[in-house]
Amino acid sequence: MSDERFGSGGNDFGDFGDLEERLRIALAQEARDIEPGDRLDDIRAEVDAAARGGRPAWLYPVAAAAAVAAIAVAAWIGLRPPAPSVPAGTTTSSVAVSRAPSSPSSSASTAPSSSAAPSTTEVPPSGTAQAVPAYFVAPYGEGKWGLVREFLSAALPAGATPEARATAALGLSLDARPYAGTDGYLQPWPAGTTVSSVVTRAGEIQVVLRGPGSTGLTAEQQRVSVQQVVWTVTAAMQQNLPVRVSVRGDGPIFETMPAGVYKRPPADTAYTDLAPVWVDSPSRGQVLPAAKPVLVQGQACVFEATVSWELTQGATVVRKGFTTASSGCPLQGSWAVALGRLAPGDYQFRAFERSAKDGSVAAQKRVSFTVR
Amino acid sequence: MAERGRGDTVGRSSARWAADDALTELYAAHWSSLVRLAWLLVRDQGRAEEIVQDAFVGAHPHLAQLREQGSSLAYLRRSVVNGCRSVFRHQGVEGRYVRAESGRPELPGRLAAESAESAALRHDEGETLMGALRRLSTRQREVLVLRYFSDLSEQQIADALDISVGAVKSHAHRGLAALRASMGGRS
Repeated sequence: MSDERFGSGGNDFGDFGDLEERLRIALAQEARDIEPGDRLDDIRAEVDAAARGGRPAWLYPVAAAAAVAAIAVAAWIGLRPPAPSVPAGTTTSSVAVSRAPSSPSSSASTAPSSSAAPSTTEVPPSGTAQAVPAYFVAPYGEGKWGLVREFLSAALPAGATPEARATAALGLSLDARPYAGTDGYLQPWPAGTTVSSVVTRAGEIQVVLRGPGSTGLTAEQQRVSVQQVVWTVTAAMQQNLPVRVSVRGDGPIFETMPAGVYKRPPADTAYTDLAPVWVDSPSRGQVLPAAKPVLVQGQACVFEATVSWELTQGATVVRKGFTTASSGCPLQGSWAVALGRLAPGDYQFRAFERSAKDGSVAAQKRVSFTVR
Repeated sequence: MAERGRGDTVGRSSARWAADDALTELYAAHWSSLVRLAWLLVRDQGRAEEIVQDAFVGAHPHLAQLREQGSSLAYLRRSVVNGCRSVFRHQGVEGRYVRAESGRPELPGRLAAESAESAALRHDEGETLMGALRRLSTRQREVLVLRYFSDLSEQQIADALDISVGAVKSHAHRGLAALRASMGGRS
């Protein structure tokens, strides 16, 4: 593919001097002034309604004209090949990452002037904080390990390629140390292990790490840790391709895990890789407004789809109950707990699965958040 | 893991699961930037959010497949651009853009009535450029916003707008020329 961008210098439709760059800056400034509201719940509700057949799919709000657009798009999905991806490999340099957790339901934006706690996300002028999915290896049950997904904030340029997003997400997931104390995540990679490159080529995503994983892990820990790489890059790129994982200078990824091609399992066996209980929102440490009701949402692949939960403040259990996920294992189902308005304070929410055998806690996920 | 391996109703719900999962990830990654893209095209935040919401809802049944193809974002972006254009078409006037800018305080979202502070901080030149951008044709504005805000290649813009690469070049050229002209001696 020749350089199809009409970028600075040498474009083929005239010389506009620095006008292009000035326009780029003006648009970025202009867009930064708005703070998109959160509509994830609305979208989910509409999707559910459509799935239940409650509302014909062609009657969505922006009216008839939008239906025309939808038909055009539907035709396109069948007829068009996927848009060509920008050649990768050149895309890994301009990625800065930060550790600020980011909620899928609150925009990771650059807007200033929030009354909340000072943000720890530093955004370079040319970049926007974007939430990227990072998977971690979490303990559950007795000696079992499975992946949990966190949304973390990465500063990426506006036009970041999927490969750049994957590099940022994977870089964050390789360092579980910030969460080892609170969540017990496994740190299967030696401190300082980074991503050498992420490239899409020949129908696979090729990931090269700068070094191999740690030694002394169990075979299952090693397997799940390789899957951690697979789930993170495929999620960040929104492309479920096989992933070729290798280590610079050859050699295996872990003692018993050779470099090679690994894949996400199909949905009905995803539980072999994933921890049974996830909490998607609120995200870690999120500050929620006291004026709005708190809704906790997550995924679970648990026995009879039953998710137990507990809301605590310090050692005090404020409330507890159980809810039902949208499907039982082997599929991950979505669940939600409406907590209503909460008094300002620090809270911890724990979602867990009780063992069918003896009622003990078979798996759990905790998230701390603040209401103010 | 035996207790988790109950095999019921896998087929349809499996596709649904993949779509829901993709939705959550796509939302986290692209909601804000797509709303901002829509906002640059329609200049009404409430409307922009509606358009992007519709794009997500409309895409949901296809998300698992789109993820396999790696084309989710391209699909959403295309829906958003189409949705923005529909707004104009529906109203029958491109002047809506200008009216929204002139400020109708009862509408939600940011309109022309930005705070005095941000207006003062805003670079004067940027303001002039944005004003000039508003006066371009819809196509020219779309091409320039997709190029310089979303940072798409010519081919990606052609796909998003369903026009040829040649048309993208010519809209870009004319749009930039018009911007330069309206910047007068400033360029």
